[in-house]
Amino acid sequence: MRSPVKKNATALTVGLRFERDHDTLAHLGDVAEALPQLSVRLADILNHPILQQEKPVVIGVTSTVVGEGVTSVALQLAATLARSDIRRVCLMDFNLGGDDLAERVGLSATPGLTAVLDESVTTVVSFGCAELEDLQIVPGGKAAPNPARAARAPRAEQALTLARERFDVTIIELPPLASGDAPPLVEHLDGVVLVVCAGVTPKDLVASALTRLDKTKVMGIVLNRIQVAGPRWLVRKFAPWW
Amino acid sequence: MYRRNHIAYRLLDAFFRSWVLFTLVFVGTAGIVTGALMTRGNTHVASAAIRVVPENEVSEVMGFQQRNWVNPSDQSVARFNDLMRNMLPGGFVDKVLQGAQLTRPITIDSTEKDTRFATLRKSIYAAATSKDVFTIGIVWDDPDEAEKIVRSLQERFIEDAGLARQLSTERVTAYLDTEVKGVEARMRRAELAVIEFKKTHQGQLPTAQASITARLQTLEEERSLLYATSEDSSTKRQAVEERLVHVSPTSILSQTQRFETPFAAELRALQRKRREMVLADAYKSDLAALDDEMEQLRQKDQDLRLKSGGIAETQYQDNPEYRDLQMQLTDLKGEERARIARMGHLSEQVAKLQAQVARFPAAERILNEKTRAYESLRDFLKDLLKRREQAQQRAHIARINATTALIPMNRVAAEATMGAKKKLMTLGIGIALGLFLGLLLIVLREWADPTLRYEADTERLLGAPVLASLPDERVVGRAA
Repeated sequence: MRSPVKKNATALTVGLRFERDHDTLAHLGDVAEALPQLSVRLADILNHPILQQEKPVVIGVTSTVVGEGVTSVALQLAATLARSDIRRVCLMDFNLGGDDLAERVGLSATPGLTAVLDESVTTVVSFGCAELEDLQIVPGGKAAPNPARAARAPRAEQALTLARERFDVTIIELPPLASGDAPPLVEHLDGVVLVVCAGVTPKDLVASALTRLDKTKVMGIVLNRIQVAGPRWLVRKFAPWW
Repeated sequence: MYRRNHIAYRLLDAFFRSWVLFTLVFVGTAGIVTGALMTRGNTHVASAAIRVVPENEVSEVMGFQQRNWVNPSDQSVARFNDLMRNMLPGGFVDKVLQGAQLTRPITIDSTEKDTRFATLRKSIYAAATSKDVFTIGIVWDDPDEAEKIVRSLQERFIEDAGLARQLSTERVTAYLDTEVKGVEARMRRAELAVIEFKKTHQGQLPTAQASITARLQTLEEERSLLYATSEDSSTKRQAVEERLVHVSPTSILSQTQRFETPFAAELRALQRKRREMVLADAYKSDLAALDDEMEQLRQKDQDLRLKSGGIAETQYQDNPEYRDLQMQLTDLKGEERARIARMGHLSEQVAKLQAQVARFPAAERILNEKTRAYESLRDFLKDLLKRREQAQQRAHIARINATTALIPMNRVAAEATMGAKKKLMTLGIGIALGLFLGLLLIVLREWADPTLRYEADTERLLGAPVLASLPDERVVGRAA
């Protein structure tokens, strides 16, 4: 189901602006509606102590390697937060490796955060939809030519500071830990959620990646893409939460 | 902990996740095992039961008490297995195969590498079915060949076992004969050695030892007594000698008392002369000279009187005490010389006897050893003679039993080994093995899985809480 769009641009004052564009956000509502079960499962995260704080929080979502479903989890987490009583939720694509988030929600090619980080532009456009008015999405744009440099750029910290000022909760889609670009960004965050693809990512690799993070900032792990091979009676009998 | 994953759920989940692999392993294993067992089991078995006549019956009649811990049937099985190891040309197995007269002969020549021979070795078996009965059998593809081989095995075994038993007992008898001769010679040598030793060491033999010891004791006592007597005699001799010093050899028999000395008469004569001269009115000078002479005589008379004490004459005789003491001393000296001579003689004898006594232990030990060696050989010879006699009797029994101790009990006939019940059992074994291997593979695969699948494992291994567990979007999408 397509969501009606509306326009509500927001100007920033430090040479970096978030402008809201409803015209090109086509599938966010569809995605959010299509996966209600996922939203229900992620609702438990709302009870985490970090999200119970009164001040604005910035939370990162990362994984050990590429392809573990960080974009999906971040999108669903942002949608879940936006559906709750939390106002002003922002999802920023700091993946630095491509415009996965934009493609996922059906945005056309547009300059994103990577362009801001390499200081080629000073304005980035955020998107939202009518059904999730409290959620804004900031796309990543093209892949950064030098992700390590981009992760350590002063603009990155400025962008996160601005996000903390503008929104109650900001969800940051981070690069994978194996690339080494996530830790510099994590320093500016309040917490990190680690996505692990069940049955795919080796546990030794995950344990090794966890050592690169500040343990006090690790909120927890989201076990993603669990495949239940047994019949429904088995799941109902032994894993009713499924 | 997020949610506890039930072990049953995990096992079933692992099973359904690997069901394709499980099916492949199960079907493959069950099929292969069942097929192999069916194929291998499609054989024929031929067996021959043989009764062993116990030798005890005959032995007891002969007075032997045979106590074997092993049953006759077990002994026969062991003997059969020993014979089956003889695979030389002309040996037991070769004779059996020649006697079987197979249509397709089996050769035992290792250079020809006949695979049927290797199969044959594994297919033949022997087992005891009771105390006195055992079975020889073969599992073979061709029933006709199986019957022929078993018949040949039966005949050859009966023949060889009888001959072997007879040969064995005869070898024992021959061995015992040799042993008896050797021991007899050794015993004679030992006996001669004992006799020779007794001759050369007569005084040192145990019978003479007691008298020599008693005699030595008597002589030593006598010598001690002599020594004590000698001491006493020496003391006595010293006392006699001391006494002799103080005893005069003579004693005064009688003494004559004299009142005037010879000078008195002369003096009286001079006095008469002086009176006559006075009367004669002789010269004074003559009187003075006469007076001087008379004075000298008076002086001599007085001196003599003082010297003789007034005893005019003494008669002496031998002192009896002195004589007695002299006799005692002479006797004592004589006794002492005799005692010294006697003691010297005794000491020589004692020294000789002591030397003999000192040689007693060595001689006695040597004699004991020689006697013991002789007695040991004598006892051993007795035992050998008894055993030889028994062995000769056993050899006689063995000659009698050689052809009658093993009796065939059935007609050899081959039967198929695979019945309906066995087929069902084979199928069951295949299925059970397939199930076992399939499940084992699933368990091993789950155990070796390096990834994270369950919340509990994730929390335990990573030390961080699981915030949410999300199903695969594709699955959820399909479900939606």
